[in-house]
Amino acid sequence: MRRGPTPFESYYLPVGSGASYTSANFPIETLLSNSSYNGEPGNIWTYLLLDIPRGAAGGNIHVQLSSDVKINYEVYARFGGLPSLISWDYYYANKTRRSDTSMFFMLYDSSDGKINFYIMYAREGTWGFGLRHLNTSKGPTVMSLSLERCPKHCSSHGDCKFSFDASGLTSYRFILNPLLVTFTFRPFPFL
Amino acid sequence: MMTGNFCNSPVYLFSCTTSDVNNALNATENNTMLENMMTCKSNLKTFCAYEGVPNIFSLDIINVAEEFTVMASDVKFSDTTSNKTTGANDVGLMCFVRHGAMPSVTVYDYSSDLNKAPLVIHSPLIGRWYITIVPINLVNTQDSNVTACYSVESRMLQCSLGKAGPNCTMDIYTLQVVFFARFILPIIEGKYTDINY
Repeated sequence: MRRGPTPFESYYLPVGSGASYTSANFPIETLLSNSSYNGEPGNIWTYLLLDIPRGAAGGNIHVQLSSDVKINYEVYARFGGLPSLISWDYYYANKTRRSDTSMFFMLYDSSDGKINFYIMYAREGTWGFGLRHLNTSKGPTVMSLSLERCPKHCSSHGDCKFSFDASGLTSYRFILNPLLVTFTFRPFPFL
Repeated sequence: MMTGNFCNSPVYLFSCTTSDVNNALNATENNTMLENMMTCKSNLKTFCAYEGVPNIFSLDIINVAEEFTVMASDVKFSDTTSNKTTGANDVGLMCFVRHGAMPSVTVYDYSSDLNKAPLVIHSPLIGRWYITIVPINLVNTQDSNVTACYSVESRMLQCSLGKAGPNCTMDIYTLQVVFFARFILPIIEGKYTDINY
C-alpha cells in the first residue's frame, strides 16, 4: 500500500520575501540583499526565525541545504535568539566541524553538496537560524526547514503512528485547520 | 511581584519605551533607519540597599534584540543615621543576570560591577530576564547603617524590521508555516488508510 506524506509535517518558508514558492525549498541567494555583501566573507550572515507553536513540542526540526556544487554556508541554530560563532545550540560547518550527534542532533547523509540534519524534540518557542556565508556562492543553494514527527520517515523501520497527535489534535487546530477539515470528511468519502 | 523566603522582597519590573537619547546617538552613527533603542526602567527612580542585600529586577524581551545593557548611575552612599549622602566611587554594585530564573551570587548567566562599567549582553535570548544588584565594599566606611543608593536602567538595541546582526546590516526573515497541496492529496485521492489515528 502506498503511503502518502505524513500529515503532521509543516514546512517553513520566508513568505514575505517577495518570492512565491511552489515547493518546500527556497533559494538562499535571493534572501541576501546587496547591503549584506559589504561584509567580509565569513562575516555575512542571513538569519531565519521560526516559531514552534505551543503544543508542537516533540516535533523535530529538519534542516536541509543542497547545491550542485560545494555548499558555501555554515548553519547555526539557537533556541530563543540569534546564533553567532560564539553562541549556538547546534551547528554544522562541515563533516568534521559540527555539533556532536546525540539524541538531540541527528545527522543524515551530509556531503559537500548537501547538509541534512535534525534537531530532535525541538522546544516550543522561537528558534533562530544563522546562515554564515563563507564566500560568494558558486552555484545556487536551496534550503528547506520543516517540522516533522518522524526523522527520515523512521529510516524505513516501521511506520510513524500518530496516536499522540490524535489525543492532542486541539493543540494543532490553529495551524492544521485545513487538514482537520479534510479529516472530518474522511469517514464519509462519498458525501 | 514579590519573592524571597517571606514573600517580602519586591521584584521591580522594567517597562520599556523608545529612547529619545538614542535618536541623537543614532544620528551620529548615521544609521537612524536601522536601529531602535529602547530604554527600560522601573517606576521608582532610586534604589537603596545595605551591603550584600540584593534588589531584584526583571525585564521581558519579546522580540529578537541585538544588545541588552544594564547600567547604574547616581551611585551614592547614604547614611541613614546622619542622613548624609556622599559620592561613592569605591562601592561595588555587583549585577547578576540570568535568563528565565532568579540569579544568585553563584548561579547566573552574566555578571559585572555596574559601578565600573555597564553590563552588555549581545544577542540576548527572548524571554524573561532577572537582574539582581548587590552593593559590596560598603563596610569600608565602618558604619553599618550605610546603604548604597543608585538609579538603574537597561537599554535594548533592536534592528528595524528585516535587519539583524551587529550594526543591523544583515538580513533576517521570519518564516511562516506553509502547507502544500500534496499533504492533502492522499486524502483526496481516496487513500484514507494512509492516515493513522
